[in-house]
Amino acid sequence: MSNRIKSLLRYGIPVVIAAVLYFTAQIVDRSQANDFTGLFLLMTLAMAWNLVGGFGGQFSLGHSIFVGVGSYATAVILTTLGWPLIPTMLVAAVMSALIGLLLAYPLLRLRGPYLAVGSLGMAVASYGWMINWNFTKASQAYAVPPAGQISLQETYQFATILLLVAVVSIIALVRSPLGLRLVALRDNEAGAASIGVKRVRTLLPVWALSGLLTGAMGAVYALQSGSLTVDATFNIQFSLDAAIVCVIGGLGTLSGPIIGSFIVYYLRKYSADFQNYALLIEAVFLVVVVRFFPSGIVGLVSKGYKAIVSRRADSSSK
Amino acid sequence: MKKKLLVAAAIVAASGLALSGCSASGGAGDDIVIGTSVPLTGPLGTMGTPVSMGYQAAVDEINAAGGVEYGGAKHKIKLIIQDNASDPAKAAAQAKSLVLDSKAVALLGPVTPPLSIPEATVADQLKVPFLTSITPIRAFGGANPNWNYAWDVFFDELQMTQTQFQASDLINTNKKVVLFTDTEEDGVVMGKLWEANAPKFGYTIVARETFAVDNANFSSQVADAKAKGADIVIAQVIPPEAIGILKEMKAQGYDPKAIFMEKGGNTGNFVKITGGLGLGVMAANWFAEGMGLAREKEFIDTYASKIGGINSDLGILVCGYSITYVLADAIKAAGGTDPAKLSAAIGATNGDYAIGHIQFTEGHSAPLKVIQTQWDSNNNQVMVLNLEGKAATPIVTPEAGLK
Repeated sequence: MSNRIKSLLRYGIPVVIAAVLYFTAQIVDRSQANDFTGLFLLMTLAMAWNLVGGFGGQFSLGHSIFVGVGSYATAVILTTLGWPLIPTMLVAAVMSALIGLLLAYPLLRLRGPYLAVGSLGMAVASYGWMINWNFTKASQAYAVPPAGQISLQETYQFATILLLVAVVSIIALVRSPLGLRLVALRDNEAGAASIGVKRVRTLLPVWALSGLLTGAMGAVYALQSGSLTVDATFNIQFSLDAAIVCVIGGLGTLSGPIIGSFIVYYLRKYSADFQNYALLIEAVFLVVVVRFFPSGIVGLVSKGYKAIVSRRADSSSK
Repeated sequence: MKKKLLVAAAIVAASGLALSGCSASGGAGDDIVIGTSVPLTGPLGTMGTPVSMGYQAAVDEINAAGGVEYGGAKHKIKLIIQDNASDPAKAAAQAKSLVLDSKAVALLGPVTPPLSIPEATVADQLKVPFLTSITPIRAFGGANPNWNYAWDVFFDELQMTQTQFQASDLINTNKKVVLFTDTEEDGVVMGKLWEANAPKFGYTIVARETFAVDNANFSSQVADAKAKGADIVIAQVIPPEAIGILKEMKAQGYDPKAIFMEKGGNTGNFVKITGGLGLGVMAANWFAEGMGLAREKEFIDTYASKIGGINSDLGILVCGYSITYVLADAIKAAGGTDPAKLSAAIGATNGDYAIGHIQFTEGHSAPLKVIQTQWDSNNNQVMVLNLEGKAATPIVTPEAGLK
């Protein structure tokens, strides 16, 4: 298969799938639309986090800030400036990207667990700021105005488009020279530096893209929720969810966050009936994956596939 | 053997036909699914439990009487209760799931604005009738002046924020007041009203201590209040904050003549859970012995022992019970569960219920009048200011629990 066809398939398949999902919005019922919106938002969040945490090896616990900024910016702009919905969401996403740049600059001086703790500190500080900030109604609920109260099917369409944008942009970034430098930095920082890879210059745009996608996810989350609270949107759980999904699916892989999101979303949905045991079920599942399949479901499938191929090769050579 | 099987099948088929015939000729209709996401755990768990008891009590009574009648048949109510753990995001998600997945035709609300408003927003988004209580009406209306499907039955903060000054008029104080308000809807709305009302009653607000919801450290706020020498403390806080403030007041030796703990003090067993510090604390109430409500004695006799006394929990239970009947009456009046007709029928409510007269006004809310009560050593809240704003049982001062 030529490189051109491979490239066409790489981008064409997600576009076709997204187009099918987009146009099925009119035939799915409200319950399914709401379900798929939640799933696609989790996928987008995990993919955006995976850029930094998986491909970049930067274990961030600060991604809840991007969700919060994206969602609140959407609600505040719609309320105070009365802009149309799509420009509002784009601006909200860009604001998150700028916040991503601002956060990355000091955070990139930290490594490993120090970066995780530093980003967690920033998430806690942002939460503390927002819960006291009267401009965004502090700890009161901030209602999304009527302009943002669209149907569940329309929200599902926004989530579909966003997921497509996330998939395509991340594929493009990972396969670009920037993506190669990113992975080189993660795997061997000293080696990468010796061939001229600059740490900050490489990581800044990656944090910005991650912030942009997560902020856009926050914007769609605002439309889905209808009203916002600091507790709900600046919740550290978003960062933890993203990390859990990537670990289960496969950290630093393209399909890992998608597979992991699917598993985690439906595991939570169907284990919710077990009340207090739901968290325990998820925790046991996570421990089993980490203990027995440290490279996640994608790693497991990949190993299985390689084993089958090599067995076939062995038997044909005999 | 085959013959026996055929006979059994015939009996089963005949029974089925007979039952379906009953249904078609005015017997039992389909169940009406009503959902509620309430805080059974978390900081507001003490309020969510009695409201869900009220919902269940009303539903049990309605079902025992055959159900809600419309379309020539009686329909039993199937009430689905979920615990949102006092988490607004979970409350909204559960409200959505109750409508979309469990096919609830109407929602009964949780308690307090931080939970009621997100659920009301979901109800408006999904165009499903939503009826709540224990959510002061200005906070409810302030979140959205144009609710379509959401309705609220509770007190008006304007009347409620006068009762603290009316009660304080009944004792000797230096007329200096310190406010403790958190930053959620009630704290913001009531804080402003107390500031506006104080001069009208001849009181001075010497300090207003504000803090985020669920704050745990009140040392600086209490020190400031003590330094200002206020004889009156008025707080609008959630129960854990109320306990924290009282503990800090005890630690710093600050014993004002009157303490009003709104919302925080509206918790069953308040004296016990504060380790006795809550003895003598006052709080506005919408149900108490001596108010003159028609079914007052019946509810006290039936539920006071189950709920731990004559206190706000009983009032919360009666509110839940009453709005369930409002909803059932509206379903009957609307002739079914069509969302628009049902919402309109709720809005047209004008009748007497266990909690008092309910009639909706502008802003989709029905105001209830409140009184002031004081916690006594029997774990009851005793009425000290009646519905006319006059003295009832004498106020015990200074606050006994802090001595």
